[in-house]
Amino acid sequence: MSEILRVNDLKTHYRISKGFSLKDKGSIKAVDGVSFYVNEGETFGLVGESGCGKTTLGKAILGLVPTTAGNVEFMGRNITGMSRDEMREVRRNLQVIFQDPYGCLDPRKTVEQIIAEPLVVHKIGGKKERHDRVRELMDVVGLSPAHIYRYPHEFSGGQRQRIGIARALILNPKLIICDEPVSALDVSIQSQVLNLLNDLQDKYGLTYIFIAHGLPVVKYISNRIGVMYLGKMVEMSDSEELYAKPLHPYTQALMSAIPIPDPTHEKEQIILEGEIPSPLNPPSGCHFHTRCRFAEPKCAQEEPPFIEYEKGHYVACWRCMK
Amino acid sequence: MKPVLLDVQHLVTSFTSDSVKTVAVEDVSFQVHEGETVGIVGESGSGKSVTSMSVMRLIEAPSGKIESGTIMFNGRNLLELSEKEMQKVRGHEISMIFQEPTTSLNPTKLCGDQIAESIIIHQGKSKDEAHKMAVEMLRLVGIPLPEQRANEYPHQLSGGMRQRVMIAIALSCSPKLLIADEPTTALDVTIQAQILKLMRDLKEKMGMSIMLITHDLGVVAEMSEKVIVMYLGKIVEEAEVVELFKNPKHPYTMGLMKSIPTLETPKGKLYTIEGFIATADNKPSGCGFHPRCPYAMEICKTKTPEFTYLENGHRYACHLSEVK
Repeated sequence: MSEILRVNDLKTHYRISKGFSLKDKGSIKAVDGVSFYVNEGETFGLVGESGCGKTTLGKAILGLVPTTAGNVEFMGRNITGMSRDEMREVRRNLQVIFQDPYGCLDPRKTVEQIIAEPLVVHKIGGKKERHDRVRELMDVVGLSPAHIYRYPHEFSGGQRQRIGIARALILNPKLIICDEPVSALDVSIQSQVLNLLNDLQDKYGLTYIFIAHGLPVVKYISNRIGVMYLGKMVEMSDSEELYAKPLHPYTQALMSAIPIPDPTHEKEQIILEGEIPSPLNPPSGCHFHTRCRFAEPKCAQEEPPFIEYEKGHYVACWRCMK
Repeated sequence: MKPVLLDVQHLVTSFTSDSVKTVAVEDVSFQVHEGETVGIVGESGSGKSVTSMSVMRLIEAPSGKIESGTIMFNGRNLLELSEKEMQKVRGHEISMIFQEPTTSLNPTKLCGDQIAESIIIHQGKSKDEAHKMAVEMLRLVGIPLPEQRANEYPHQLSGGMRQRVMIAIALSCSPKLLIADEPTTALDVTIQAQILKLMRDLKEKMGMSIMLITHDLGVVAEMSEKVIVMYLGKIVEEAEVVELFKNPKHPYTMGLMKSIPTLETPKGKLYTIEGFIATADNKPSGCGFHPRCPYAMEICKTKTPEFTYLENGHRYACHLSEVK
């Protein structure tokens, strides 16, 4: 398997200034030194809770938010700091599906206009070709091509998500960043969309970065998973391995916090104390030490390095330092 | 079995807009016993929230209307109470917590005052006493530095803390029944685990009943003793929690359980319920689930199925029971 994307020590910090004074009030370190790679044809899952930086990381890869430091290599090219025109070319192969199927579709455009928009932006094809391509894609994602002149409000949540998927697919991209694509959908609709994403991957050899807060869904769809906490990646591994042998105390807690749909299931639940700290003022040392069961004095002072603990299984925790 | 606290019979609630009437809750009957947690599971448009709002009599007139049925609570029919009498029930004997703690709290009032408000109204305490009790409530729901937090505004708290404040308000008058409408849906998983544990502990301590409305089968399995599954305004299945998960009977319940990925789900195709959820104003004829049901027969299109009763209060509404 060849690598399609590599993220090197990426940082996205947002400066905060209050009111009229332009005095620097510090910065939110939304993504603070994250490194990982994605192989062609695989699904890489990014999981974490609010404020962990998973969405910002996705946007930083797409070049939608500025990068403070580090870089992103996509298909062998460094795409950080590219001009708008260059980036537009890159995005032919790098597309995105958003969480909110209501907010991400222009209500005044027909489905045809929405799905064909990338073709218009990239000046591909004539009117007839675009029309045919849209119909073809509607069929691929399970929408009736007869509905091509309808508006978004005439569709249900699951169908709208399919429109978003068709729009992301129309340029035949290599990599699609899926940011919480099923979180806003009803339970019985989620599995339809997950299956569709899997089918499309097989059919077109797509690579996904799948961002979500729900570990079960991420684990199901991903080959490898990165777990984020407060702007850092704390653990990264093959998804089966991560489930069988979570190393970081945060991953362990995240896993045990998931309510299991089996009333007879007995489990030892690790309930984390306290809140997720604000990314504006993250704890010193290991960001997780304020909620960690195993925290030692060292954890508050020094940040643990992100090391390869076993082959392909990376973790940032002092307890895993041999 | 403990005595029945809430007995809803044949509840019908409808909404009218542009003189088109949509029935959101159709002939719903169920009971909640003392000290019991009943989970109500359903997706958008299943009528689970409208059912709970009907119990609280918070259906907004004139568009919304409770058409018929009885809601017996503690020996009284709530539907026959005057608005004034109902106000004494709300927040005192029956309390509610909502999904979105951010929008349910008053942003212009201190957290402590919001808790004290219902204590003053329902228990007739003085302002000082009520404030002291409010601080105690904040301590009870596990908020650190409760004296300080009582003097803060909701925006100064995190989402999990706000939900704790909501719970403190709801429990301040020791209600007999707590209606929790998606109480943890807006929260992060690790915070959800904290809040669910808090609800279990407080239920133990205060001996109340809980009506837990959620779309998350995991939450239901962890919290409830009895589960009611709703689809398009109707109850399709009801059973004790272990029985329901071990032996689901309705094709919708079965499909729902199979289609949710868990940490154990292997790669490959997920089971799916085909099609999409109809809207309340455009319900299918017969059994509401028939357009999506893998076992649908001719009769399902025309006739609404009756309940089949099994042992231990397990019931489900499906024509398949007659075939077997």
